[in-house]
This record gives sequence, structure tokens and C-alpha cells, in this order.
Amino acid sequence: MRFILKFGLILTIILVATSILLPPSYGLTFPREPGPDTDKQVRTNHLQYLEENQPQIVLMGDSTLALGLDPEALAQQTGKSVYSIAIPGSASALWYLILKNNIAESSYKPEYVLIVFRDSILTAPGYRVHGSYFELVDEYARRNEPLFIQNSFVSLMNPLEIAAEKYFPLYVTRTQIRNRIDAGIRYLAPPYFGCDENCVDYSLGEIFLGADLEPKALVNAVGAAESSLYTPDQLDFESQVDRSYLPEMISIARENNIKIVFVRIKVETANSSADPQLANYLQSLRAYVKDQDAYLLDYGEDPRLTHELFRDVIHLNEDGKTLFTQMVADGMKNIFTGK
Amino acid sequence: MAFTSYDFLLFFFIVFVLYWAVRERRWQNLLLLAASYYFYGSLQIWYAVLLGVSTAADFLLARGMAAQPERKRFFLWLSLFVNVGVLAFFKYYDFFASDVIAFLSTLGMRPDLFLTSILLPAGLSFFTLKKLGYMLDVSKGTLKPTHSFVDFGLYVSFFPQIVAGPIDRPQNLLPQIEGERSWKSENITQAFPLLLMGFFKKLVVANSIQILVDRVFGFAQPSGFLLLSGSLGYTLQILADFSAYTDLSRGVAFLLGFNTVENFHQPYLSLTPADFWNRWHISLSTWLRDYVFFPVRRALLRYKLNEKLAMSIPPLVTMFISGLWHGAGLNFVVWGLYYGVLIAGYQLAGIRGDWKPASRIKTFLAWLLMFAFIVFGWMMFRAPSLGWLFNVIICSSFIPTQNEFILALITLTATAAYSIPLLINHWIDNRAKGTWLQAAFYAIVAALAVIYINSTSSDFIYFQF
Repeated sequence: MRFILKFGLILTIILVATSILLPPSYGLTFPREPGPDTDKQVRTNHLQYLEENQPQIVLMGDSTLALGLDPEALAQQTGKSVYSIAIPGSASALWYLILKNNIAESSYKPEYVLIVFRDSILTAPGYRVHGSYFELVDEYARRNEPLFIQNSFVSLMNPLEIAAEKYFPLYVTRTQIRNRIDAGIRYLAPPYFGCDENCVDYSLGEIFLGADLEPKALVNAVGAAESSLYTPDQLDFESQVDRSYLPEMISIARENNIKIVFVRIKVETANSSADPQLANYLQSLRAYVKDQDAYLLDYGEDPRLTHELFRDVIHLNEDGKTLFTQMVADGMKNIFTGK
Repeated sequence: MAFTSYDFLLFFFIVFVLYWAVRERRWQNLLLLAASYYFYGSLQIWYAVLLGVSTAADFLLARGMAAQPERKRFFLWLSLFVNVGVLAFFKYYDFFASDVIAFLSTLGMRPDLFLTSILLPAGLSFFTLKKLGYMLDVSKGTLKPTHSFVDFGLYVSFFPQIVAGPIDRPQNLLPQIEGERSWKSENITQAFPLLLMGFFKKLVVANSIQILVDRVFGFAQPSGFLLLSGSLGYTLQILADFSAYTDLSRGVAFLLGFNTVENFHQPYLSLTPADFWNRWHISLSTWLRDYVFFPVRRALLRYKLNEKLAMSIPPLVTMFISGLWHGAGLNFVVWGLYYGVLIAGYQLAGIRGDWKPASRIKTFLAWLLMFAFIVFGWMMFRAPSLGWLFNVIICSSFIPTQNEFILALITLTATAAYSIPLLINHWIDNRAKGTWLQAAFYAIVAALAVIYINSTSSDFIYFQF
């Protein structure tokens, strides 16, 4: 036990020292509100585009939208001007922030906002907001975004994390400290071989964003990244919906006289006919959207989107894009005519 | 519920308080049994059902052996058939699932819903070996079957070990389950370093290096140099990950008053393949030694086989089974056979597991050669497929592209950097145990673990086996 007391004493010294030194270094005061700090800047590029070009339809989604729906073809087929906000790596938190801080703030309001999503992503507020995704999301967040912080961070924390976030400087600054350690490792050896920090960043960017993945590894990587969308908790629609951005997105659209259309795109990572929980989730989602007088175009199980039309397990290829665009155009025409 | 999760912390806190509150052994065992089934069932409820049914079957079969010794062999074969059959079905299901689904579909049936959702129950490989060891020992008469279903059920399902071992033998764990346990301060002093280093190795070392290793082995065709750097990274990752799980498992067991088996003893300091398997996943190695290697060798000696064959076949058979146990992929089988060939080769050359070279230079060279064999073994083990590895070795250039070279450099630097704390720990354990220096090292380790805590920790590698 004496040894544990020695350990406790030294650990206490470390914690006291870090509690004194870290807050001023990172501009923090304690106790603080849990969750990350968003910066003051808000990107308004979409707001400006809306005001200048006044598109009638705005598409919003991630890479599945970028690779799955052709805005020009959709404009031709629907006879309405289309603007696509397709941001790879985005998810419901970012779509909510763009809707709130760009589309709703614009003096021009589009007639329709189409949100292209897959399976449970609309009720997954913590999906793609951590790590490097945070920088992306933060671009569209204001200094004070209580719903964003609550839904995407605090509501997903356990009591220990909340306490640590409030009172424990070493824990709060862990990401920055870890980034420093990682940078130390990353930039240590390459300069001896003529590769400076920019060169290292460029190489790593090429490697980690490159598409030269072994096919099985690609499927595994996508499957691992998507797996959090299919946990039993995540597929419990009733418990997830109120802590998601779905009610707020519908409400913002309604307040701004925008018709919001949720477009479910097909992916090959899951199949509701083989997953009763997903089937129940989707049934609840349909009922909810209908109840809120919003629209849902569900192509998640559409047999026309065959395996041959996918470039990988979640993205359509060019042929798939052509067909899917046609399908969405047909769906939109039905909405225009009130069918 | 991973050991490093908040859910486990909460679960264990409740179990720990209740366990030491009840004090009486019978109630303690019942509580631990219930907790173990809750822990295992929280992964998938039907896992717990499978565990319960197979445990009850083996309990009754073992009792049958004691009651009807003349039918001992029948009961043993029945148990072997059921246990190995269940393990083989789940382990190799992927091989034949698509064919079964296609066949049933041609009969107009829609089997997708059930068949596509069949997954290998976590830990099945581990608790099956525990039960088989028990049955084999009872059949040989070296172990008396326990009368208590609760005790046997707890031996099989003991939650610190259920998912990824260690594969504790009944001779070690059952007497502790059957004996009285009282709270001692040693429970904490023995658990503390294991828990701390377990968290550190998993959160800091294994999870950090994994990102780089996954990327290297994710390339469609990496250069030889990049593959080598990734394999060195994986050599560190798998040791840190698996030994972290064992440390946490043993630490948790100590807090409950159990001294469970050690699983690692500086495996990368081995000088021979047999030495490596005496130090790596010790509970599996000793299980295979006692229930496969020795029986095969005894059988061969009985048939007075050629000495070289008698020396070579047992390690080949044992390591082939070890490979099969690790997974259904061909690379696991070849990996197992690779070690079988190495062990047999060293033995034929007159180098046994306890071999000690005459000089320091020879020792270093022997270590270097063995370490190279180990790294190549992990390269096979981690490769997406044998075809991939073959293609890289035969067709890829050893010289990397600029981007690959940078990734390889970073992987090597990270491997070296994250190895340092483990080397320091090893040195302090041998030279400065219990000193202020060790206390300071552990305090820094604890602070680093806090920095590396991430809510989305990846699962322990050995869960999948």
C-alpha cells in the first residue's frame, strides 16, 4: 500500500501542476461548460450563393449525394434550378447548422430543401462531429450553439466525462496535448530525408484520402465507420428523435416556408429486410415525417438500384447516379403535383 | 462492454460492492455467475443462452463420467463432438454460408434473415477450450468433477476471462472458486499495476499504432519497405492490445480475490520458436501442449516412428490446430503451420526451447533471427489474405514511393516511440520495483492514459478469435 501512496502523491503533484499550467496556456477557465468551444466565425458561402443565384431546390448531404445525384440533370428533369451542398464527411449536425445559419438566414428562401441521408443518420447527432470532423462542423457554427453542443456532445457523455469536462484541465486539453505528441512523432524523422512539415502533411493527405485501398480493407473501413449507425440504441427511433436535429430541422424549414424533403439513398452496408430493428426504425421515421407534414422519398430498398450500380458499399457509380437522379426527379414531380 | 468503457466501470463497481458485502462464498459465486451471464449476455442475449446450454451439457456429461466410469469414453466423445462441432460451425460458418443460402433459396426458402445474422459469439474459442480441458482431465481421472453447477458455471463463464481469456485451467481456478475468499489489501496492490498498464497499453499504445498499421495493410499493393514497417507496427500493436486485455482481466480478477494465470512473459525476447510459444499466450500454449502436443507425441512413440518424424509431427499438428483456432482464413492456418515448421526445424537442429547460446553475440544473433521470424509471422497473420501477401512479396518493389516512404518512416517512429514506455516498464520491473522511480513512472502513465482516453475505443483484437 505504501507504493500506491507514493504513486498517489506523485500523480496528485502532476494533476495540480497541470491544473495550474494548462488553463492559461489554452485560454480556459474552470469550472467550464462541458463540450467543445466553437469559434466566432461562421462561413456564409451558401447564404451568399442563395442570395445571388436564388435556386429553387437546395440539396444537402455527404459524399453519397456528391456521387449519387447530378444537380444539373435534376434541374433539367424537374424544371427547377438546383444548388447542391454536398460535403463529404458531413452528417446531420452539419446539415442542421447550414440550414440554420445559412439557408434560414438568407434573405432568399428556396422552395425545397432536400436532405439526402442513409438509414439512421438523421437521428445520430454525434455522428461525424469529433476529431477532424469538428473543424468542418465548426465552420458553420456560431460562438453560441447550445443545441449543437447539447445534442452532439453533452447528451452523449457519461457523468464522469461531464464532471471531467467541467473541472479537469488535463482531460479538457487532452486533444490538443495529444495532437502535439502525434505531431512530434509525425514530423520527427521525415526532415532528415528532406521532407518538411508541409511535405509530410501532403503525403499523409494523399495516403489517407487516397482511393488505392485493398477492396476488402475498404469494405471493412466503411463498415467500421458506419457501424455506429446500426447499434441497438441508435436504431431505437423513439429514444433518439428528441435528442436529434430532426425536429429542429423540420421546425426551421416550416418557420421559413421551405418544404423539407428527406431522401433516403440506398447503401449496401445494411438491409432492413434482414434487420428487423432497422425496419422498425424506418417505419417510425416514416410515421414521424408524415406526422410533421414533411416529405420522405425512400429509395433505401429500391430494387432498381442493383449491386452493379455501386462503386463501393455506400456510393453509387456513374450509371447509378444517372438512375438515382431520375428516380429523385420523378419523386419530386409527384411532390410538386401533390401526389 | 469493453473493459475500458464507462459501462464496464459502472458494472464492475456494482458487482465489486455487492460481492464483498455478501462475504459468504456460496452467495459470492452466485453473484459472480449472474454478473458473468449479464456481462456476456449484454453483447448478445443468445450468446448467454448458448453458453448456458453448453455449460449445462458439459456439467452433466462430466457427472455422467463419474457416475458411470464404463461409459466414460462415450461421454467424452459426445462432449468433444458437441464442443468442437459448435466451435467449428461458428468459426467456419462464413466459408459455407453463401452456399447454404443459395441452396435454400433454390428450394424457395428465404433464409437470409436468420443465416446472414449468424456471427461468431465472442469468446466462444476461449470458453470452449476451458470446458474441453475440464472434460479431458475428468476423463483421464486427473480431476474430480465438481458437484456444484454454480461453481462449474462460474469457472466457464467468469466474466474477466469470458471474452478473450486467459484460458485458465480448472486445477487453478476451480479450487479458488470452491474456496473461501476474504478481502486483503494485496488484492489492490496486485491489481493496481495490471489495471494501470492494461489501460495504458490499450488506450495509448495499441489504439495509436493501429491507425497506421490499418492503413499500411489497407493498401492494394504496398511496397516491401512499407509492408515491413507496418508489420513491425503490428508486432507492437498485437502485443500491447492482447497483453492489455490480459492485464485488465487479471487485475479485475485480483480485485475479486482470484489469482488467474499469466499469459505473457516478454515474448519478443525469445531466442527460439518453442521459447516464443512458452512466453506468448501462455494459457493457450500450455493447453495445446497438454491436450494436443503430448498426446500426439505419445501416440507416435507408441508406434516407434522414425525419430525425426516423431520429433516433427507433434509441433506441426499442434501449431496447425493453433492456426485453425485463431481463425477461418487460410493465412491463420499457414501462420500456424509456419510456427510448426519453425519449431520442428529448430528441434531437428538440436535447438530446444530452453537453449542458451554460449556468447552474447550468439545470443543477440539468435534473438535477431527469432524476432525476424516473429515479425514475418505477424505479417502473415495481419495480411488481408495470403494472395495479397504473395502478390506484395513477389510483385511489389521493395523501394517505396515518396508517400509510402513518409508513411513508413512515421510508422517506424511511432512503433519506436510507443515501445519506449513498455521497455522502461520492463526495466523498472526488473531493477527498481516498488521505488519512487516506479511510482513516478506509473503516475506519468496514468496522466498519459487520461490524455489518450477516447470515447470510441476500438475493440481488443483478440475478441474476434
